[in-house]
Amino acid sequence: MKNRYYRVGGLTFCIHPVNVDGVVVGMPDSYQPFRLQDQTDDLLFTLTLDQVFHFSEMGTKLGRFNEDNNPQEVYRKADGGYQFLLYSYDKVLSAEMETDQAFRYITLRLQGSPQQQLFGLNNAVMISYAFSSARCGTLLMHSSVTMLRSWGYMFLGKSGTGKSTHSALWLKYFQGTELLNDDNPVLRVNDKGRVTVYGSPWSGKTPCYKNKHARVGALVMLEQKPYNRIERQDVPHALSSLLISCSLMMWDGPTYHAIINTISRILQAVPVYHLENLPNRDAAELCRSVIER
Amino acid sequence: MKTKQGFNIQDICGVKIIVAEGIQNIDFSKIISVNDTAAFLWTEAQRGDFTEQSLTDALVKEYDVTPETAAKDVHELVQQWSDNGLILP
Repeated sequence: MKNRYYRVGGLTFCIHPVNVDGVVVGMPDSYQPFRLQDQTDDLLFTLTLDQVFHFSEMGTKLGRFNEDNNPQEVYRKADGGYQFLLYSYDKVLSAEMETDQAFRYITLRLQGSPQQQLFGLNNAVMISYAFSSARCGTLLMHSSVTMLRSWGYMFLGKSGTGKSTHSALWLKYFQGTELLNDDNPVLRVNDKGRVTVYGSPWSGKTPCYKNKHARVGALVMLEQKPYNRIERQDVPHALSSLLISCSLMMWDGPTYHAIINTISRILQAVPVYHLENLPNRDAAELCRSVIER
Repeated sequence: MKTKQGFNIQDICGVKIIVAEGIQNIDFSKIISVNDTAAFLWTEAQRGDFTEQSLTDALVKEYDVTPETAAKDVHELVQQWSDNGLILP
């Protein structure tokens, strides 16, 4: 297997296979739209797939976290780097991962059934991306995103609040709407303060892996209520909405500060709204009438 | 009293906010916005051991306020910090 290069959110990373006997999977299909033929610029990170890799010794356990019901254990090494044990949906260990503190050089060993390995690989790449890109003004934002007239609108909310449902309403009722991503798009603010949302290989249950991007018009925090009402959030509430919606790494100071800084810059450029809503056409119409650019 | 570690004031779009950081505060999900006076007092309190009296003194020194008003404001604020789990006895 040769090196493979992918560009997501304008940032390029490399999957570097060294010892891959026993690996029964390739890269998930969702990465295909993002594949580059060759390396063209600096790498965000290199993820080495090495089936003979083993942790030399375990670091200090920082905790066990349940990301979308996929438990992961995180350990801090003496040199500041991190170790991860990634468990699949069925709670089986599917990957061991070790990284330097900046998440530039990552080593991964997969195990389990083909399905579990695929899961471990995808999860490892997503974690690597989220944390290595944090220093580049980038956030992986748990949200569903629609595009309308070249603007991107991001719908946030806890699992089960109807993010996908709200996007579906826009698709159904507003001609010209396109779904960009349904779970974990990349949100990025550049040096000039312009905020862009990019499609990604991570889209939850909806297969929507688009190598497209749009300037962000608004972010909307959704909440189920027996009525429809929308208002703009003040800074503390908007900060809270974005913090609970992005992949955090509270245990790593530099990354956490970078994330707070990125959110602060996003809030300077893009309004955040709170939409209390029913899953109906009125909610979508109300929302659009207030947030559309 | 002492402030808990990892609660620092951040300037987010011109608004001062106490944000929790560090593994020990991973379950702290509140965002606490503070006005200029509260921000000043929090920074004072972060210097080390503090009492309501030491904060009142600092407030009187920095702002044009009577000791009585300062004491009352400090008392309310420290109560708030305590209710929100921001300080250790």
